[in-house]
Amino acid sequence: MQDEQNAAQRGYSTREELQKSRALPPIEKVKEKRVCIIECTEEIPCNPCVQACKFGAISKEGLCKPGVVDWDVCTGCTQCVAICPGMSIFMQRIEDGKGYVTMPYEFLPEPKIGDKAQLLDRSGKVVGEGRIVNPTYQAKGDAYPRWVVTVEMDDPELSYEVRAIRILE
Amino acid sequence: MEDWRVYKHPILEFERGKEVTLYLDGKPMKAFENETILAAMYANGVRVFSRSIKYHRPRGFFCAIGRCSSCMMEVDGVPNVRTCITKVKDGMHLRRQKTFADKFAPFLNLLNLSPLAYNRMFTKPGIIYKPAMKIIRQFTGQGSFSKKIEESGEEIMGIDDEFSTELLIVGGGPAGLSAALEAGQRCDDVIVIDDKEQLGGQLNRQTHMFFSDVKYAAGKRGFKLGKEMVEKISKLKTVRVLPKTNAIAYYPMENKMLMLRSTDRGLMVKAKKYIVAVGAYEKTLLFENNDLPGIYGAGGVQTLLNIYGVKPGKKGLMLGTGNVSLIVAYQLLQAGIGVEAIVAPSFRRVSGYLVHAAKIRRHGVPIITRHTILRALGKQRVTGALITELDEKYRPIEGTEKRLDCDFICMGVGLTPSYDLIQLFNPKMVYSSELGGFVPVRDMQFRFAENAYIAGDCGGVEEATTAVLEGGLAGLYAARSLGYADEEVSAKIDEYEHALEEDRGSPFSSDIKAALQKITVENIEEVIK
Amino acid sequence: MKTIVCRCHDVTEEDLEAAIDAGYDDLETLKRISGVTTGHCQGKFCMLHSLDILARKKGKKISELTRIRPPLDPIPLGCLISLSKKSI
Ligand SMILES: Cc1cc2nc3c(=O)[nH]c(=O)nc-3n(C[C@H](O)[C@H](O)[C@H](O)COP(=O)(O)OP(=O)(O)OC[C@H]3O[C@@H](n4cnc5c(N)ncnc54)[C@H](O)[C@@H]3O)c2cc1C
Ligand code: FES
Repeated sequence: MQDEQNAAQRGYSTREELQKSRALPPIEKVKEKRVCIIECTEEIPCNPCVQACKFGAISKEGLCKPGVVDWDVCTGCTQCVAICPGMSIFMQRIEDGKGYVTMPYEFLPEPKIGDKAQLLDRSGKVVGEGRIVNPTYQAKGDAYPRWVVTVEMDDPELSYEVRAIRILE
Repeated sequence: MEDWRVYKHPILEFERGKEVTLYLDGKPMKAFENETILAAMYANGVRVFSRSIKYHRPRGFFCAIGRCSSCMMEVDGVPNVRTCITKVKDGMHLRRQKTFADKFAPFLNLLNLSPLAYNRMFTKPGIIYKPAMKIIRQFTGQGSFSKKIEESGEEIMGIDDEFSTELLIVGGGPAGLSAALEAGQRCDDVIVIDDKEQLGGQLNRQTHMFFSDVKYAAGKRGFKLGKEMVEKISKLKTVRVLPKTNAIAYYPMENKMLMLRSTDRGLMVKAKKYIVAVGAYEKTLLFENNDLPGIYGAGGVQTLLNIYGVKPGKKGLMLGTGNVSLIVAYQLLQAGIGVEAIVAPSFRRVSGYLVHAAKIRRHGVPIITRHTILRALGKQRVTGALITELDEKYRPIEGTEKRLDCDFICMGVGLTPSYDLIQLFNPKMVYSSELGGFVPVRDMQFRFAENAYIAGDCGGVEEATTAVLEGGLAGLYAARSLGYADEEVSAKIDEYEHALEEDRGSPFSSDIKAALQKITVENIEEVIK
Repeated sequence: MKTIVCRCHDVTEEDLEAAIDAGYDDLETLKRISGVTTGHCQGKFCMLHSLDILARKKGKKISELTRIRPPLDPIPLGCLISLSKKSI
């Protein structure tokens, strides 16, 4: 029964659904540099991501239309990840056979470089274990306080699925 | 004894203040001076605050905002004090009301008397009325007066008990604050009242970042947004703010409003114009045992957790898939509290935004749609819940009952506009399910009665941004009709009207927009006659 | 096991259904017989439920509220007395 559900019943979109709506970046881009993924598929009145991007890589046709990323322009600076009220912007990178996902983090314990973390997919299933490589604490301005955390995983395929972490103490 | 306070939180810091001591039925308890009595007792593991009036059922807190009366206790000799909105003081003595009646509970339950019946007993002959009443009050749980209540001589900003003003704004949520900001820049004398100690309304409990246009609220955390608005208002000399002041009556014939300041001072105000921005009440659900301690409104949980930093339990069950429910589930996770599941009948989709749902799904919380709760399990407090699957007609399917383990149940099943104060203005009230309940018919300028305007959730449940915009507009409309009209005011009105239109542009708002159109008329005079 | 509609006066769903069957089939009379919407909270939580139950039993749509009377929240009589003393 779980399979018959659509995103709105399930509470999240699957990788396939996101691929179909062109929310996921092409593989060449992900291998070239860190780029952002907006997993916000509904029309809701919201636009902080558009304003946050200093490079103009994110655009919206109107206040309520979904955001569109220009992956050529995106520099992977993570400003949009830090500000997105829906916590639905992530960054993906595949390099030297390893996967990297950058995500917002508003839980305890505080992340430190080298911490081990359980990797959770969009449905909350534990899909592996990763390492925290680059936690930054964004405390300035209104997007207060939120961590933006990058985790490294050995299987690059996982970087399409992992959307949350649970830090192991 | 277990301490239920949250000392480390990823977003919030709790300023609890000095440590003080409370006495519950003589037993000392640790509390902090910035806590309410309820928060302090909860932190000490107390779950039952009173017994219900007729069946003597245990009652915990429910709303935590002074609305439901489940938390009333005797405080320093004064009965019926709502502990959820009363701050602690060092050495305070608390007593559960009606311990006497509880001893006879099984017997009284057999009698099955209604509270009204108790009150009618022994009224004759007059001579036995007074002593009999003392005993009766013990049975009904209305408490007894052991000593005279002192009159408070508190002076408020030089305000007399009776005064008049140009514009009175009732409610200090985003709508009321925004109205005060706009009107205050133009009128000479504006007063804002709110029944809470801290202005900001719903915003104070929201730790998440808000959506919408960055020009208004987006990307800010709710509680910061409220603080910012309050600060801006404090700079305006024309606006006086009266917190802890509850509007409890309006008399249209005399055009006067009766207010209760704190718990013991009455104020009577006559204003030229009123703006009513009293927000919304929480809806509840009917199911067996729905009054057990451990069953809360989502707002109650937010207040306890986000304002006082006290955990409502260890593992909860959320009812409803609206934004409120989804957000509260996330906030529980943030404080390190488990969420067993989110349960709701929702057939077509989760009713809140998908991004809010995704936020909790990825942390492993299941959303169980097409199900509803049948009964809460437990005797003195919640120990679990029985849920069942529903068929297309919302009827329970037999044999699909399932037990879920949890120690609290939180209802986030939507809001309904506060209708009571509004109705005293004698408007035309209509029911609109899209807007959440009963709302008054109004004109294009939000006027719903002779001299009163409406703004925010009480005119139709929406969001903080729309509340801010509507509030601003109401403030401007009121200023204009008070004679402060110029080109700048008109330009500002245009700007706000345009922004409101744009904000309601999403498919989530189309039903609301249509419903609002239906209850907006050209000429309000014809309707209220 | 009880399903409580009005927390203030302990009115159950059964009580209301029985009262409606007995002929108290509008909110004005229903509240007088059962005490629903007349407690400390003045119907803030039970008003909609009572209307729902009424609508369901009578097969009609929700349309009218009961008449609201001040005060909306409890107020000590002393406050009213001191107010009226001053206005004389
Ligand atoms: C959990 C939750 C999450 C939300 N998340 C978002 C979000 O992400 N984005 C968004 O845009 N919106 C959100 N909202 C909605 C938003 O908070 C409300 O729409 C907004 O606060 C409504 O503003 P208001 O001023 O009309 O009412 P309120 O904020 O409810 O303010 C009304 C005030 O009036 C006071 N009052 C009531 N009666 C009286 C009286 N008789 N006398 C004196 N004072 C009185 C109340 O105490 C209160 O302080 C959320 C709401 C909730 C509950
Ligand atoms: S009145 Fe205190 S919990 Fe509702």
